[in-house]
Amino acid sequence: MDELSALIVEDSPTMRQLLVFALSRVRGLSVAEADDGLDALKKLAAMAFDIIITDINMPIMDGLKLVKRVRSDERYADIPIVIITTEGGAEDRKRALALGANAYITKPIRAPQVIKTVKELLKI
Amino acid sequence: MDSGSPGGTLRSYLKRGEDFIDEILRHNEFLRLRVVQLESQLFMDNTPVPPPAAASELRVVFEQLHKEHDQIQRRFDNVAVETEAHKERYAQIEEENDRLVNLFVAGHQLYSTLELSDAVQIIVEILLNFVGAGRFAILILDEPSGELQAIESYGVDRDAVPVMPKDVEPMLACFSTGKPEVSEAVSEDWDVNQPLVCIPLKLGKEVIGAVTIYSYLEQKRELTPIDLELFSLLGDRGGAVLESARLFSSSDGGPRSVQAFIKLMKNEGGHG
Repeated sequence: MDELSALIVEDSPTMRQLLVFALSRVRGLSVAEADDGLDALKKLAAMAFDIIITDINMPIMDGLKLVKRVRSDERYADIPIVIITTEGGAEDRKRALALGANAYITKPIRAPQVIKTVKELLKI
Repeated sequence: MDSGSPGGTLRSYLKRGEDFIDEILRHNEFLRLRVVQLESQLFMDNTPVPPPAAASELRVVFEQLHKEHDQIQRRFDNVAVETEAHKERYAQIEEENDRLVNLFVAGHQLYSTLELSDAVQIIVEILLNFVGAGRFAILILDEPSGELQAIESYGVDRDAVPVMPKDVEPMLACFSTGKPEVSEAVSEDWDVNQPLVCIPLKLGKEVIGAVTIYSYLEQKRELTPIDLELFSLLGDRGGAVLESARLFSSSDGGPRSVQAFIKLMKNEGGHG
């Protein structure tokens, strides 16, 4: 299998480490990290990613703005995006999905849930 | 004309000949019907009828095949049982991996800083992201007064968190056992005076503070064994982490006393 790559966008080092540990168990998937939405856009411009996993609440550029920016750029139109949030309500889910996110994970984060979602979106 | 005459003898022969022909015809008819029956059966079965010796051999082969089929079926059943056991084991290993990842990351992050505000923030993140607590507070014991005061909160205004004497419930049980007091309830109702969880923050055997959880995130339906282990981890390590950070910051002009620590943290503002 060709190497796939994931970009984790999360301002909390604790959450980032948890997500990196979780996704490092997916064979053939390399993981890069970004501190916020703006950092993520810089990393997207520098290299290709197969999936983006982003928190919603972040400084500088939050997850919803990042989704909007990514979806408005045709170069990234096909990259699946997973939103991570504390909000479990249907309205928030609808908002994220309407902006172009493909999946939605709610906190508390469990590694099997993250792995399952990423594998489904990457079809691996 | 009698039978002894040449004519009678001839008629007798002719009669026997007729009988013989009739018998042959009947037999022929029987055989013809039998052939039709067999052909019909062969057509239905699409199987050539083996000669009797071959049939006997085939019966033996058939019995062997039947035995092999039974053996394979038994092996198949065994494999199915093993597969179920492996699936169950795999799920257990996944759960164990999840548990270890959570504990490792939580433990690793707790010891990743000596900055006071970062240490507090990490405890907040563990409670929010790993446990799924929606409303909670971190309280520190002011030894002279014997009261616990909130230095940080999430989902609830810090000023709304009551000062709690250490010798009154719910803190009393927490301080006397040194272990987390946990209610299994995960309801949406909450009361800042009646925390669902009270985790003593320990420095060795001494309790120097507590974490109180009032409610969980909406999507959290139940407490898991991982949550209970995280509570224990926070209780056993959280106090030491906060005290280490306080001492470290005091060496750099930070708060030298617990009272100064509480004052400093209150001035830095909470997440409520």
